[in-house]
Amino acid sequence: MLLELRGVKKVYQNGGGAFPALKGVDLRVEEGEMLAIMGPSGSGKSTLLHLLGLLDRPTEGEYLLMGKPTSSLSEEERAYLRNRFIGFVFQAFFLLPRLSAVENVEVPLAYAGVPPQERRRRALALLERVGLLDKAKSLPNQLSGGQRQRVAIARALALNPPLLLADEPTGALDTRTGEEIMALFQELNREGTTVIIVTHEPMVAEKTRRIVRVRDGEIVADERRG
Amino acid sequence: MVAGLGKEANLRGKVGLSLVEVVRIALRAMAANPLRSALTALGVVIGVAAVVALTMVGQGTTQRITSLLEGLGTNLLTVGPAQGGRGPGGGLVRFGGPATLPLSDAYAIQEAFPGEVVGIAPVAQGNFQLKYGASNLRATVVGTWPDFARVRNAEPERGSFFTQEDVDLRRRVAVIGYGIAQDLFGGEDPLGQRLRIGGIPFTVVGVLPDKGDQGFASGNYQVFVPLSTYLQRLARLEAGEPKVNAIYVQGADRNRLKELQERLTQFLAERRGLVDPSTYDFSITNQQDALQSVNQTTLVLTLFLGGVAAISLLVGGIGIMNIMLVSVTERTREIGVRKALGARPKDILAQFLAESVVLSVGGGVLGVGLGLLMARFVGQAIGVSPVFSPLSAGIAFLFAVFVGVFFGLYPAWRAARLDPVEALRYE
Repeated sequence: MLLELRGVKKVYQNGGGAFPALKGVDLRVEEGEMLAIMGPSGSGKSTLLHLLGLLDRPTEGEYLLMGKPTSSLSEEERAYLRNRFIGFVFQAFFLLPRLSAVENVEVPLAYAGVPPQERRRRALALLERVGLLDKAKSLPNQLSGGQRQRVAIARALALNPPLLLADEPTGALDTRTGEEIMALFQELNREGTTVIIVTHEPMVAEKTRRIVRVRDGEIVADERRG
Repeated sequence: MVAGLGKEANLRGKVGLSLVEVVRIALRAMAANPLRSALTALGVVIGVAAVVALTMVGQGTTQRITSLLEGLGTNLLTVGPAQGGRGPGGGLVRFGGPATLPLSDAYAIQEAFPGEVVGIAPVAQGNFQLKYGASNLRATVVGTWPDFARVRNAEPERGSFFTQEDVDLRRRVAVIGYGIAQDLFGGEDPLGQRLRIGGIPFTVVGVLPDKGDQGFASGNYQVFVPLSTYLQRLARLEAGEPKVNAIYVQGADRNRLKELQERLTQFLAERRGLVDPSTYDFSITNQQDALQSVNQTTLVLTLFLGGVAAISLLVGGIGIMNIMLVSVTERTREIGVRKALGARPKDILAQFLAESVVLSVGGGVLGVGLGLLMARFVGQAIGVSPVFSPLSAGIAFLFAVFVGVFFGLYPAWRAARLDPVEALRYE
């Protein structure tokens, strides 16, 4: 079992009222799975992803990562886990605009304490892997959307994490580029990485073997195929 | 693949960025906005430059005045008129107004303090027309005793000072200041030449060295003649006791100068039959008092200006804080991304703290450089050679670093504790 949510609730306090984003979610994901979390906007799917990525803490319930509860972890320990065990891919890529492609890929390696030369070597290997070795020195604004997302994926893979979390990874891309990105995720999954993709596009969800449907803060369906 | 979580995981190893990298990231962030960075550092630059320049010029001034005063004689006490005795502020002799001290005081002191007083020189002075050939100028003429040369550090560079015999015989001989030798005699050698002082011919027997100053504080434009000659020929004394403007007394022992000053005061008061100090018609000043008051004045001035400079450093620091707060807000997204990629709160803290410290250190370095230039410029303008003090430059520099840390801490702390989810959502 890679991760497990037990009765997880998330309530946001805004203004005077409390807004329940998640109303008690149970979810188990095995190592090596590839699943899509689907739902309309405001359904709580992004909140779910943030919780899984240790970017946020549940208001109630427990999140177990690799069998261990995460609620008592310090910020420092959570940062360490995000660095080593979780790779993030965002809809808007979120590359650091002043850093070149290879430097962006180096960021997680730097926080892991990898020495600069080794860092560069590994970052270049990752860029080669996503087919962008020739763009290593380019700044993000010199790259196309698909290229940026490939750099972001290379960055997410920098420390070879067991879990890859993607938030609408094809949302800002055209259909063909989106399919290329999805093919890359499928390839990564075949190599053993657990991939969780939040999306509202059926086209994307179809490429996965499991679809978790979320509505109004609750899981309403959990479909497996193949 | 899965080693364990959190505490069990190896958190002890080398994790995070090295100092060099943190500074490199900071430099890059500032290079992205060079004008803003420069303007932000400017406050610190000006503050540090002001501190450095002020202390350099201040110390230069103190040193110059000190050496000036010391060049005017060592272990020196000056007997002058009551309250009029402004001390040996400048020049070799500087007592205007009427001569009020009886010359007999000088003889009496000589007799009463044989071991403790090693030199005594009463002076009477006035302004007279000097004439040599076709050229003439007005200058201060001082009548005194031969001891003057030693007591007031006025040994001629060429020729010699007049002698006791010259005084006894009321010879018409003169020792002239460097400026007079230059202006009145031009290229000619003044020694042995006849110089008319107030129409009376004198023979030049000595020329004083350049005292290095122009204007009022100079011995360069004074002429020294035997006191007896002065009183008879120039002051045209009629009846009564001869009066002098001041009496310079050189003590034997520097450490007992204060004591000698008190005993002299007592002695002169008794001579006059005066008891109440407020009725004394004379005063005695100590060269050390003058030095102390000069030093005190420059110290007060330096502290005051230093305070102004410190305030400008403070304002510079607030400028840094302001810009760092803006920078943190602008880069909220970047902070969120870095956190998602594994930056710990302290990594973010270090990143932003490094920026403000690099700004202030850069400002400090530039400030020390600019301060050196300013000190040179100001020193040239007011005729003081500035003294570089590594201590004050070091203190100003460290203060700048402190300002960077202090005012950078709050923005960096805000950045470090940003909620990653909020930060990623930030548009």
